[in-house]
Amino acid sequence: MLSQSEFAPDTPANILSRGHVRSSSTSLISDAMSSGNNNDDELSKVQIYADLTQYEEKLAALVESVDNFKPDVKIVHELIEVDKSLYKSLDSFAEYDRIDSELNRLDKESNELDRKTKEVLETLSECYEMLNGLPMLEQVEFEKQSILKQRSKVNSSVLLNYATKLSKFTKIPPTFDKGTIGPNNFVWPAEDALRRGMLAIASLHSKEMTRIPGEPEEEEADATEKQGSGDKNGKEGEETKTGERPASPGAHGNERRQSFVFTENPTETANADNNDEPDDEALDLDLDLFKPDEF
Amino acid sequence: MLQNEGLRQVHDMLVPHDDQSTQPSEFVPHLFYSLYQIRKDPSNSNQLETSTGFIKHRLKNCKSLIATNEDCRNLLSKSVEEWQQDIRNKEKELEVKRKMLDDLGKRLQVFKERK
Repeated sequence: MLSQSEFAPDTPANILSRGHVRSSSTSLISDAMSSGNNNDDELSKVQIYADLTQYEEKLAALVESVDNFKPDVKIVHELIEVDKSLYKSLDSFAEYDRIDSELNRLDKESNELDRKTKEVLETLSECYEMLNGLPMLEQVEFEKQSILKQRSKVNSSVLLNYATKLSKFTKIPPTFDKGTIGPNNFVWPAEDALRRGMLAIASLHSKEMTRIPGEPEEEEADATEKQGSGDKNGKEGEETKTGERPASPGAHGNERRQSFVFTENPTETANADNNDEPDDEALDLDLDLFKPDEF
Repeated sequence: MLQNEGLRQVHDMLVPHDDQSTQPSEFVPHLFYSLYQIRKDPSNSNQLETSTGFIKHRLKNCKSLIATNEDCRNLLSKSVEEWQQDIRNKEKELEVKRKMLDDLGKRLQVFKERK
């Protein structure tokens, strides 16, 4: 197979391209030449190589002189000297061999130390990476503080649930001021206040409500006595009679007991019925919670 | 017995007999005998060319071995004194490396004990 350069005509472009090829391959040639030069430099330093070369030259010179029938004793002497030098260099091979073993040992030891150092440095590097991956102390403290702060806050729903459970078995604390919170300030009475009022009124009339039909009415006798004692409560007594009349089935034993009628001012009724009741009960029965002065 | 392969090959080529003691050259006696033969029979002058052939062959092989074996060439390119100096320098370097590794180990030990 013929190469491309054999077919290419000698045009200027081809000449240039060949020059380019030559210049591009110059580096390879120079590399080869430099390596060859290095080898030559090393070989020139090798004593035994020089001895061998000189031996060859002297031997060739001796053979030539003998072939020419002009043997030169000087060449023979030089050859003997070169021979001595060659074998002297050969004797140093034992020393070179020892040096080679020593160098191998040192290289081995150096590699071992390098390997150990590399391992230690790699381990240290890994530790450094791990430590870098850990959060900073300040960050940990900050997160801890924020978590503790968050834990100290109790959610209102949780608190209410817990309070609901506890409320079945607990009472209002004695130091708690009921006036500060609650429906007292509302314009309408709260349900508990209403219930409390109804129950309280019902408890005031418990005797009437629980009286057996046909039993003599003690209340009326008491009321008569009270009416006689002073004019001050007379008017109230009349009102009480009027209020109690439907609730005293004793006068009309066969009549059906009327249901309890909630009067407009039950306080008066209560006062009329029980004049000897303490004032604090009257306060409890004050169901008219709307106080326009407060608004 | 030489441990280095290249050195052993060159040595064995120049001194065929396996003897580490200083061996007198076998080339010179051979040349002396060849010259003696030529002196006896001057007409046969080509005998020296023939008889020195094996010497040239061995010398050429030795040169080829040294030139091709890089380790051997590198080893023989320096004198024994130069190599001894190099070995001393390498030992110093190794001592420094050993000391550095020991210091590193001690520092790591201190950290380990501190933990």
